[in-house]
Amino acid sequence: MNVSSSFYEVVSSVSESLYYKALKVIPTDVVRKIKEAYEVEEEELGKKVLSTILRNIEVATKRNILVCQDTGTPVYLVEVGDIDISLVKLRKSVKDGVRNATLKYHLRPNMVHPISRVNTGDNTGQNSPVIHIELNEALEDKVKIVAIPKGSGSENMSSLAMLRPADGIAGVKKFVLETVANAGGKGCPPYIVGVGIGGDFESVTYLAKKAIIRPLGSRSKDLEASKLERELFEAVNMLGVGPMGLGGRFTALGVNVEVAETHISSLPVAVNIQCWRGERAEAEIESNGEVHYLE
Amino acid sequence: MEIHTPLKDEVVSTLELGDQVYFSGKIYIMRDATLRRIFEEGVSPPVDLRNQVIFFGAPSFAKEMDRYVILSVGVTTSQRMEKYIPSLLSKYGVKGIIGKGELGEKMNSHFQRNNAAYFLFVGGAAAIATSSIERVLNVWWEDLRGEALFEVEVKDLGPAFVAIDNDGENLPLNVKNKVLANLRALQGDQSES
Repeated sequence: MNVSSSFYEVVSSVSESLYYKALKVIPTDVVRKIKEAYEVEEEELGKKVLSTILRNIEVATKRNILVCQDTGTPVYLVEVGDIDISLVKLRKSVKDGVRNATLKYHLRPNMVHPISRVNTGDNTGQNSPVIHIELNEALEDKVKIVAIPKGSGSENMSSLAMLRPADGIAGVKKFVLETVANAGGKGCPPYIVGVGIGGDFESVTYLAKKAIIRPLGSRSKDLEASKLERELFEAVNMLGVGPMGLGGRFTALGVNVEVAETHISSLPVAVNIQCWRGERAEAEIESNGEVHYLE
Repeated sequence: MEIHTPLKDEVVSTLELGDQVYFSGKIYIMRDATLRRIFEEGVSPPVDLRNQVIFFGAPSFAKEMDRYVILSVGVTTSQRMEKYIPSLLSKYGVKGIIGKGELGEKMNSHFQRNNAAYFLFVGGAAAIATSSIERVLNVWWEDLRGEALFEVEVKDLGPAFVAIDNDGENLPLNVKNKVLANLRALQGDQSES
């Protein structure tokens, strides 16, 4: 099906709203997990931190302000169904949305040139925002957009390892635990730990990022990965980092694992650390321009 | 407990690790670029920081007429500012620093020697930090945008937790050492299985 030119304006305005929404509204599955953690946490300081986090979420909603001051690196996952569309225009529309949101809502501009450190002023630039476009026939005539304005505190704590197949699953677990222990309180725990296993050098990090946006409480469709999610969640929460690194039972709200087949001599593992905010906002746009906001 | 700024020596002496505190009064917001201007470019701060409390952050703000409104402010990682902390305490007489994350062991003696304290604010809790700002009193070095030096009046800014006290005890480091021991134990389990 063909789309009209107004479709791209819709993509732009949806990308704009999703950016702002992801900074103000915490996904329901994440809030639910923080509440559960608050109920169960036994360490006094850990419990106080979790109650502060819950109060902060309430204040943000009540006053209609940002949950956290970090407006993130704008990252978008755009899934395209069976629809006749210009991907070039689609990408441009997402970028326009980021620029418009930044200027309209006075969002902190974070994007700087990596060498000169000069700020572009509108959160866009060379290869920025980060836009992943995927084809998904299950969407039929729709386009799905997920905005992930990723905070730097947690992103900076993420890590990649090209392990040897001989390191096996024990090596994978060791690397995940070391990454989370090293992150300590710096990336704003309790974390959502996204683990990518397999693929190659660059696809494994993308798997890890996709893992952090999968709702908490969901299980990987891959049975081996699903088993590993449970084991890693238990092990990570035995580290004792606790909420904001002040000690406690909840170092992670969840661990999600995504896998891809890999080379016989490779074992890539990536860990993407996500802070308690778990920022993400999603919408689907039908080919006639009708918009459905999801999370 | 409630802390009124400027922070008095006798109040610092009563603080214990993990104490939950709320600040009211004037505080100063600054971070990387502000501190580079003071310490790398050698520009003296335009205000006396003696006995004052610093909050490491960079607000997003709007200017309405000639009035500043802070739209969002939260804590940033203190470790990046570590090299400036000894001078902030000893040369400029700062009594309290509010930030995020651990400070290294070598910072302990500086807080001890200068009878000062480090407070941890919950990272990401910008909504409550922003709501506690009553008004912006002064902004200096506006060319640094969000990293300008802000003097603001706050009411019940908190909770913050005492993370380094004037005995030089360091709470996040104590936790970190336990985490490393736990990691070693867990890895022992892994290699056996």
